[in-house]
Amino acid sequence: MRCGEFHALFLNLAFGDVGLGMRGRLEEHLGQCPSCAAEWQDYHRVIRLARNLPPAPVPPGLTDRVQTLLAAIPKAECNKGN
Amino acid sequence: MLGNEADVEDVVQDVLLQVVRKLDSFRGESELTTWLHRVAVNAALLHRRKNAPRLARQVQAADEITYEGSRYNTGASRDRPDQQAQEREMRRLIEQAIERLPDMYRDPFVLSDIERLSNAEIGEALGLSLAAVKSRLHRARLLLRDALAPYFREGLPG
Repeated sequence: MRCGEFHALFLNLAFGDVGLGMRGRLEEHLGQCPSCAAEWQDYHRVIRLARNLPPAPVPPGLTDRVQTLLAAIPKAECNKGN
Repeated sequence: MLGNEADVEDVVQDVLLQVVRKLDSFRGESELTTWLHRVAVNAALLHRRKNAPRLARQVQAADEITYEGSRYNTGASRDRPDQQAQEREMRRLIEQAIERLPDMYRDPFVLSDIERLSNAEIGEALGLSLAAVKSRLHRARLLLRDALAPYFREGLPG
């Protein structure tokens, strides 16, 4: 397999949208081509980094302000759907 | 999906009010979490549309500041390469790169790779086909990979 063919199927491989036979050929290419292997590795590094990002901190005082807001909503509004 | 804490706070409050008011429109056809995500994403998108000119100015200003910070901090972590500092640096770099993504790519990326929604849920929330979600998500990852490649080569963790 050539690099161009690998690149054309990169998305499909990333999302698991390739059959077993093609997957084997793509993985074989990754084992033989350091350049494509580095691209593949970096692609997954981006995913891993994003998944490990800590949750955004809650702005100071937001919880209190939300509770105040919720308390201010008339009961009738909460029961509108019942 | 939003530029700053004040915008996040506006949207959080808006979402809470909408949830209270629209809970009766939830018909149980999807998971409650999917419905909540959809309400939140719609509120964030609407807020962003309303504030587009202001947010564009803020992003530009943030870019100018963080670009300088990035060069300074990258040098500092090279001089003192302890693991925690490097990890913080890598997190900062990826957050910065995500902020710079065009909205059409950032939204699917944030919902998928940070919020862990399924591609089907993202399609539902953003009004996109499954193929479009995959294509935009893939493009976002490629853009981030290209943006971070120089740092990966420097040996920062990830």
